[in-house]
Amino acid sequence: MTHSSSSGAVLDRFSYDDAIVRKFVFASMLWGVVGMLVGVIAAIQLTLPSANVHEWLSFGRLRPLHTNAVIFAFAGNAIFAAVYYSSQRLLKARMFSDVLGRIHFWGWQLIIVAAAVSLPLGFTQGKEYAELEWPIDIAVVLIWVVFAVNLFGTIAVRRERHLYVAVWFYVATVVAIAVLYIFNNLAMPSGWTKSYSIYAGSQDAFMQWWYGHNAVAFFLTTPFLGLMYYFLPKAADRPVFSYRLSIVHFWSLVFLYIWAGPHHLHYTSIPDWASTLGMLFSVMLWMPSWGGMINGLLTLRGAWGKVTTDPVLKFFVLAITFYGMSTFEGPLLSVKSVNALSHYTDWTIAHVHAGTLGWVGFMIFGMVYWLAPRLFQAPIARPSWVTLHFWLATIGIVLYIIPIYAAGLMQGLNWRAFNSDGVLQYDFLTTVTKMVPLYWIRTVGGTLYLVAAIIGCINLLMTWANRPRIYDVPVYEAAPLSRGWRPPAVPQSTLPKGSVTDIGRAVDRFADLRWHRNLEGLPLAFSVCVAVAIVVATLFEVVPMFAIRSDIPRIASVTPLTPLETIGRDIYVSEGCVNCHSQMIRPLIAETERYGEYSKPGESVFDHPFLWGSRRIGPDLAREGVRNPSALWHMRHFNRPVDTSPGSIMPAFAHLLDQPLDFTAAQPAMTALQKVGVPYTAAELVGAADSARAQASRIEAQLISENGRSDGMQGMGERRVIALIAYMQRLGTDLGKPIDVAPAPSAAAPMAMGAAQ
Amino acid sequence: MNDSSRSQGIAAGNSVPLAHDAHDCDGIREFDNPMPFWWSAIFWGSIFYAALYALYYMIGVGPSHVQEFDEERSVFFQEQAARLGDLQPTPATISSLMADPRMMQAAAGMFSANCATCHAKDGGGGTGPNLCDDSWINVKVAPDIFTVMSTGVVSKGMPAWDKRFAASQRVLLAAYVAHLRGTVPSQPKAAQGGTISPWALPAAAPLPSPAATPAKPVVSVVK
Repeated sequence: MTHSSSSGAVLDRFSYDDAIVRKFVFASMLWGVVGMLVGVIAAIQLTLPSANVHEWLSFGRLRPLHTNAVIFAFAGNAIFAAVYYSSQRLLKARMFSDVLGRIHFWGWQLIIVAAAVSLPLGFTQGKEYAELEWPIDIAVVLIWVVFAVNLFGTIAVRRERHLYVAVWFYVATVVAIAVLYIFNNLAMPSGWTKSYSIYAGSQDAFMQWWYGHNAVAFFLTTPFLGLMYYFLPKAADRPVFSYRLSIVHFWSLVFLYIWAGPHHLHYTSIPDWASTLGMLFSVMLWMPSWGGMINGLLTLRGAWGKVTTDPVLKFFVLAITFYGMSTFEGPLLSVKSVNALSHYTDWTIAHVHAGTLGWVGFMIFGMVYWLAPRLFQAPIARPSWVTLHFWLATIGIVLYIIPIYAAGLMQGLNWRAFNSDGVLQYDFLTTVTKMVPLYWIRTVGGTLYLVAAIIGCINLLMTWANRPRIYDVPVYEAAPLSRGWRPPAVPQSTLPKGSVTDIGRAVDRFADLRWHRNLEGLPLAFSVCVAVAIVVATLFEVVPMFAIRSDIPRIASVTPLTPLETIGRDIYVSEGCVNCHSQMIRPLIAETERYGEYSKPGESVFDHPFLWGSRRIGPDLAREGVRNPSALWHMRHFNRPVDTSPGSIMPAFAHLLDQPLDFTAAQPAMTALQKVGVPYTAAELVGAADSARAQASRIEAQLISENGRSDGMQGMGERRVIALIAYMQRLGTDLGKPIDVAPAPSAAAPMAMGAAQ
Repeated sequence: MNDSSRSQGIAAGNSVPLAHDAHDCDGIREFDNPMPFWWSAIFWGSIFYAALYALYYMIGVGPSHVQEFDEERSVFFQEQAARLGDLQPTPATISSLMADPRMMQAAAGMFSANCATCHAKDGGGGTGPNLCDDSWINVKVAPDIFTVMSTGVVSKGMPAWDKRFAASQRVLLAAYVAHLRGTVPSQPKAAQGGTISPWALPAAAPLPSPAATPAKPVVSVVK
């Protein structure tokens, strides 16, 4: 659509698609409330185990639902709203395709619904923030491609030569998430609802936290920085503080973030070099992150008076402050000696919630309140409620994080406390029951935040109700970009010739960053640079991780799980046990004294996926088979945890004592595992069900023997609980096992410890 | 633009030159302020720190996690052995330990962290038998407790603790269990096994001073 302006230049006429933005805003708010509500329920479950009312709604299944909902549904839809609204205006072009936008929107909502149904049913890959099973993963990738085509298509038809910094961050998000999501989720299906990660043990752990950390980076950070660079200067009506700081912090962030993943795995069975890189790149990330904070806060210079009156700016200022605090705390927590204390504790939970409730949540609310009058073309229905939302939510955050920081510190210190006799001072259960009052305060804080969000939603709906009958769609005019644009030459260094060497002049020319202006006019080159930064940084760690075999010394006595134990492990994954129990004893005195010998890399070579966990709401289970081989104890514990562990906050898994065990489930599971490298023989696969039955009746006999009477025990060998008991009894026992002198040729055994062949 | 004009720009606040002209990002403008000095200093400082750290730990000079741990654990075991000395599961030693409140307190921590899961904190029993009454399953005399603890009763779900605890620690723990007998637990489990006669231990003699026995690392590690 073109016409000639009075000056004779040919101008395009176009309008923006705001309907799609309205959709994403509503979806974000709706799912946000759902996700926060699930969070509050999960918080209550940690104080009142009886709130685990049904197997579909127990903590181990709701926790992933909470994280997935707030990350991918609340934050995700908000990101799309921000990208669709701001990109059109920054690129002076309507979105590339209205249809793709609708496919993107409805596809994403369907994915969320599929997640909300499948996670409570226990369909999970068992990896944090990557729980969704493979059919949903494929849908996520397809919809992400639709989003990418729509964004890059819009960039291609833009009428503004240079990409603004917000769009750089959007591009980085689209490219990085695609790479991360695909490679971490590669899995071998054993059916429509179950798959096994193609990676095992240390390598799977590495891939997971490469993904997990960068989900924080490229889903909860870069898109929100992009959002900040658009909505903050708009709301404050002030220029961005520093263009060159934008350049430096953007590229350093994109390049450095990718390396930092292994800081989630300090002192675990990953090689030291990976752990060291994870820590150092996190430390180096401190300033690149703070570059964003400075550019945000200093943009407000001259507009601070507005902050006192404009609730939108209040939200933004607090969000950016939380961003600054979290990105200082992140490098701090990644320092190995700090992490030795903080890992597995609530400190991580407090850190995450400062970042998500503070930074992500408040950026979203600020944006939504700024957008609402513009999208609905009506003033905010209840302006005073916006301020109320702000203060309620702020108090909610404070009440959430302070007790949880305290809980984290207490756990870290109590777990490592020895008395003067060199004996651990606290048994694990004591360190759990002490937390319950703090968990109550946290629940109150989270509830306040949720209530505030609901008030916001009502306000939004009331504003929407005041919309005009037909939205006014302004038409804009702009000249199309001329074809065949060549970037101008980068100006030479202003240093006089001869005053420094030619190299010095070249460095000066580079540091002046004028070349970057040209790159901003070349989106394809720009995107390739982003992809290269991400991929190169990844390969630097991934290649040695998979190539250096001596990093993961095989242990001859470690053999694959039996068929029954495999079924038990599937139950463990499906019930979400990994959300509360680690299986990774670190080489630290307090841990080896409490749990037994530290975990070795060679012990998890058959673990698809790895189940090292990230949090010890309950104790570590890596040596459970050594520490507690009693079948009866485990059965009583699953039935009603407080029977064996008074004060325990673990949900009951009584349904496992009722449901019949499907022994035929072992074979498809083992077949899939065999395809990803677990050395099961053909005979083992064929005899899987029989072997499982035989082991189940042995454990039933043990139950009867331990109990002294058969009543209540008879028939347990046919119930699902028996498989989980078998798995518990196996955990950590391989290390001390006598080695089979004549291993089958296909077995993984022949490699001696620590040495290649 | 040279540095002096940049700093003037900062001082003048609003009069900082914009980064580029004729660039309309939906009305958003960008200043061309330089990076704050402290920002650049910390950024380069963190890179310098990372380089030094990497050099020290990654080219093999600095100890690995496991090397550090092995050293720490060796010291820890030495201290523990020095504290306990070389204890034997004899009636005399058990009797002396039982009479030493400090030793019993130390053992209580070990018991509550490792044994209470099945035997309850006060020894009253749960999945495992009651340790406070006079009925015992595999024990006739006090040193038998040491044997059961060391080898376990796998068919009944009792693990062997010889890989988790050094012999001296097991002697101490056995004395603690012997000492539980006769105490009144809050929820006693019904008697299991046969009634046995009282411990009949010799009168408590002072323990040999730990200093008299050479301290040596007690390796209780699963190799």
